[in-house]
Amino acid sequence: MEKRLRLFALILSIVSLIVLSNCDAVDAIKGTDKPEPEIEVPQVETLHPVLVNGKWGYITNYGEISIAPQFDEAREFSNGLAAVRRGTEWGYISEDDGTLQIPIQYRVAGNFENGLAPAQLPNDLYGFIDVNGNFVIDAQFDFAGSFSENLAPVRSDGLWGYVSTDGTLAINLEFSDARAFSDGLAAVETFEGWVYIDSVGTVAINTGFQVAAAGNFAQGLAPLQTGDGWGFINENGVPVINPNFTLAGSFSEGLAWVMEDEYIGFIDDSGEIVIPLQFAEVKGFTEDMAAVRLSRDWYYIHKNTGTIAFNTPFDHAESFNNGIARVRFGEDENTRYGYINKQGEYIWYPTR
Amino acid sequence: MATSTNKGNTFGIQRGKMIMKRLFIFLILGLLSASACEVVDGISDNENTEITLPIAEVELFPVLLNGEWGYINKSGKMVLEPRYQNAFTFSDGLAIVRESWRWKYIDETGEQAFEGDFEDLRTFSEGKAAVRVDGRWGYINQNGNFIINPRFRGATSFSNDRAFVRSLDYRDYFYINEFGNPLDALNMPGDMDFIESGSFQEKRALVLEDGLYGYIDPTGNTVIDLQYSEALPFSDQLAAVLISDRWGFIDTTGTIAISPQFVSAGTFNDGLAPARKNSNQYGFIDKTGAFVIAEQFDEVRAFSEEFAPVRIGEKWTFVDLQGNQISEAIFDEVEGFNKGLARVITYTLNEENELEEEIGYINQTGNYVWFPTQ
Repeated sequence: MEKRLRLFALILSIVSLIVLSNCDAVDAIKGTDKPEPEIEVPQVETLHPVLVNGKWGYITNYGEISIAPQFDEAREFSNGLAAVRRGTEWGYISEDDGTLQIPIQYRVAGNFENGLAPAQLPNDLYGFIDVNGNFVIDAQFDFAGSFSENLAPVRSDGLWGYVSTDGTLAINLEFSDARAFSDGLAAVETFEGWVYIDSVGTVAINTGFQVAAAGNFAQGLAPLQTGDGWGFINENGVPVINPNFTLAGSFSEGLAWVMEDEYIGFIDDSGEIVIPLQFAEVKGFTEDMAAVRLSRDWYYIHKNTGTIAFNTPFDHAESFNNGIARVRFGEDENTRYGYINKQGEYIWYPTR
Repeated sequence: MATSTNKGNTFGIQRGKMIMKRLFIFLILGLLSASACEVVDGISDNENTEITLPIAEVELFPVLLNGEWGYINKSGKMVLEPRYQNAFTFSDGLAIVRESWRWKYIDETGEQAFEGDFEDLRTFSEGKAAVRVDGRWGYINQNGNFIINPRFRGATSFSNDRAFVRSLDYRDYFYINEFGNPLDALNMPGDMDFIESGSFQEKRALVLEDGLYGYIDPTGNTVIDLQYSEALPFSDQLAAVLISDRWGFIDTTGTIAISPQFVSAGTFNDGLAPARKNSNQYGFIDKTGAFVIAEQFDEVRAFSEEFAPVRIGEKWTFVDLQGNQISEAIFDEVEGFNKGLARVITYTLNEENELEEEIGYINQTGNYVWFPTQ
């Protein structure tokens, strides 16, 4: 009898479902909205690091091995050179032929920008090397960042300034923190708080209110943190988007991410939320796509609709670059890296 | 329900409530829900849906054979061979099945309709289906593309271009429109935090606040004030409501269309609604409130496709609009007609003397097109 009751309960559930779907007429509509696949033919062949049997090599953006796996670590190319590591030391390979252009000898090797890279030999200070590996700016800094707009932040005795590509100290060492230049401006931390300086070191923007943190300018706007939260100022230092946010990132491709409570969405340059607050973590838009984390898994979204691009979850997802994006599965020794194209197809199936 | 514990008559009020409560539970637990159907009366512009075309509804029916589900056509011929662990009814041209422990949507050829690894999923309605990924519900279109991102903790199917969802932080329940934007609760004492049906019919949705039922329209405006201690969703332009201790019917403006006079009442479909007035048995009334099928059944359910399930003693059959039985009452359970067939269930004792159900289909003349199998 009890069994029968249970059976009835089951049936009742099923019947409930059916009763609810008493459809007189369902004019089914079919969405044929699948966008015509954009066949994006890469204009140039680019190289990207892959992990194969525990060693790093490079593939082309067409998914073919170009430089045999042989390195313990390998980074993306910039200015035609990519930093590679064997053991504990770094050198650089050439994008032209994949050969080692600068010997593996550095303890730290930054990205080449404006023809120079910050580098540090073992037991030495930071300097800058040229594409032949010569220290054209002597090793003399406690720390150095990559160049942008022909200026690089450097630190000595705890104070930050900027060197120019000719090696001269363009902006004196006087700041407690310093960010990279963009749009001709750089955020620096003075003893009174964060301000923005121009390329000769003159304070260009001092908001007059306490700024706890300041981000880079992009598209004429920069995120910064006031006592009320994160908002945006324009290049005249005028607050243009109210500091309503828990966190905010710089603009890219017309949109900036913002967080309210624990969820992230995107605003346009008027401050209007155009992609609702819903993500746990995001990366900025590149090539009309952004990597987003829902709860545990990463996906990609389209910029124009904000909707998920492929029904494929990844353990981690990086930004699109040259029509492809690197994705990752697993952790530690089981970490696998792959690359997808704009259609969500693997051009390189994840390997380790 | 003959064996039901609550007074032997679960039809009408009690049954309706059970259904609604169950739907609410579905929302919370994220179980599969049925499609709430209404005529799709418009195709809206949406940058995600450039072109929408009507497609023929698939007339295939899930059957269970030797423990595996397949699909038969309307004449009882096996069209998709049994190989699924679960199989549900087609809607908007697609059906949910489970194969090798994975849920997916198939088309009428049995092919997987599109890629996607969904933790949970619901039947399509109005061209959209709620699916769950990474613990969140969103909506995909018939190509499998997300048109509303997974940004809800619970989600019902769309009806009248509206769906009922729960916020990511679990705090709020609200309706969304077809673009995923929330509806504001207008002209309403509360904030739609608790509802009973979760779906719109006749552009009305049942809402509940502080023990009183009312109805909102698709803009969120409370068009029928919260005033009823019991109420059912609209259907055929009318809704059953409890006024004092009798059930009557109101129209979509809230005007009383059939005066309160029934001990219990159900949902209008095909012009008739189940009701009980003077006896301990049930019949069907027309929209004037007159019984056109006399009170003579132990339990009845609403009409669909011009037939209604009725129970006589322990067994079920169907009646037509004139009250004629299409067969002897021989079925242990039945489901309403859908696309010309009705699923019927019979119980048998297996070798271990345990009760097992067998699922069959009958046509509108009451004949089997598929004898009950399991």
